[in-house]
Amino acid sequence: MRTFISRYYSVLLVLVAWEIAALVVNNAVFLPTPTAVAAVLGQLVMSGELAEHTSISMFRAVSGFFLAAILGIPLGIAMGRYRSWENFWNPLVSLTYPVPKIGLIPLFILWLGIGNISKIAMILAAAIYPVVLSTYSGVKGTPTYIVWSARSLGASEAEVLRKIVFPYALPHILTGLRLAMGISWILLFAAEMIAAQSGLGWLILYAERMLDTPTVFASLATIAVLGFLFDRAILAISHRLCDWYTERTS
Amino acid sequence: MSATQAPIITCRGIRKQFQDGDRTVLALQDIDLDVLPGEFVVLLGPSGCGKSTLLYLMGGHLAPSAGALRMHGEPMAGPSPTRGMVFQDFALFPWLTVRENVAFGLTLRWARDRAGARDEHIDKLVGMVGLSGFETAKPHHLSGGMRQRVAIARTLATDPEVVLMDEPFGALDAQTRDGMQRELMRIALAADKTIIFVTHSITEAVLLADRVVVMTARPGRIKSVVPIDLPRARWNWRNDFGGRFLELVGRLEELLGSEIQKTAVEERGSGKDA
Repeated sequence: MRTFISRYYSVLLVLVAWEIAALVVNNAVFLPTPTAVAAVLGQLVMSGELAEHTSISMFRAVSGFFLAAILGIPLGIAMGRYRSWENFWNPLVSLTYPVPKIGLIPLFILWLGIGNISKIAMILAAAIYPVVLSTYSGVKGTPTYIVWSARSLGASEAEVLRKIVFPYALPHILTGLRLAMGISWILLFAAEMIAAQSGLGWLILYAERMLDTPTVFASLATIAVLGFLFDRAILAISHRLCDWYTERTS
Repeated sequence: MSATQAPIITCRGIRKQFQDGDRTVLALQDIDLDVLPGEFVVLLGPSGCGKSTLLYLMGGHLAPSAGALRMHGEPMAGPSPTRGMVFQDFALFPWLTVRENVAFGLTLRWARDRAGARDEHIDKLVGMVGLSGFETAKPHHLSGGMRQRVAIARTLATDPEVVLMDEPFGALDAQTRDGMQRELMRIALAADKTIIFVTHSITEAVLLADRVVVMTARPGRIKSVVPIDLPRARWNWRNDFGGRFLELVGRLEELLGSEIQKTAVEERGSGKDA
């Protein structure tokens, strides 16, 4: 409990300040108190409404995220290891990376409809960049002598990729996945706020129209906690698999 | 080592040049060298003379710009587990434990049929390099000397015919280096390996080599080959054959001295240009 408080006291402090500010303002539409938000959150949980919207949102975000990982990691490895892949993909990646993906939402809806597919594609399109770029730079950084050592021990190119290049780049890949996770959530809610009948993004928009500010905050809090939990999960995996990296650099 | 014995490694007319921007740098020229089975050959030269490049060529990691490299008379095609390598910076796999590092070569596909006796073999090697009890440690928890011992055990695990060592003790402090040289002497005496060893330390060369190949400043050529006519067990060289040892050191100092001077002049010259 003590370590919990020492680690998260900044969050507690903000909550207390918010509570005081909301009490001073005394207008639930303008700024509800955290306790009021918690009460609404409780109701949303009890009614099952929150679970419904959360699960559909999570399905979309996680699908897009996994597709970004499945496509992005091999592409990043190929770009980092093979000059021809690097030459082909580098200009394409650099050119499309700065394009604001949120601006593409209407286009994706036009092409892929308003269902889940356009949202998942949207998330994929945005989340794949940090995966590719982190993997690419991690693979590029693999020391030549480590690869040569493996080759001298009889490793084939496939074994070099699987047993040397991938584990060496893994800390960087996981950093890319963390960034991709965050981007997935941001894109998801943007997409859900533009075209959806369900999901946490839709819930926020709907509550705003009803001037139901506590529900807006309750949805935002759910998003924040979900994002936090997913981030911690990736971080835990990273610490477990990459102790050699985290211990060496800390 | 009779003169009629067939060489295990042959270098003929090796030239190696690198492209540095639009400048072509000639690293090695006219290298002809035969290494006999079981021989301990040291490549000695001033820094930047291309001695490491020559080692990487023999390892199959670089391709010569001209000339031919052969092993047992067959042209070399890339790296092979018959030619193990040990690098100055150890080049361990940092995500693997000591044991996994040593066993790495035997976990690969080419070694499938050797997997039977693997565990004992690895334990023996880990013990031989004095790392029993550290099997599950990862490299970042080990000292420099211990890391290099892991690298040596890893290379010996696949039982290569030739061991190529690139200034393996260069990154170690003097005391550790001393111990490691003795350990390598012991390994060279015990195992019937051909060892090709790069260094810029003259005493190290005389301590370990059967033959010292002295190279010129860049572009590296073979300036002279000096046989070290001492018994291989040189633990107590000061007492046993101090005079001859120092004589050989003096001879190599003389050969190397003029090359080091050349390098220094060239560096000063290029410094003026820049």
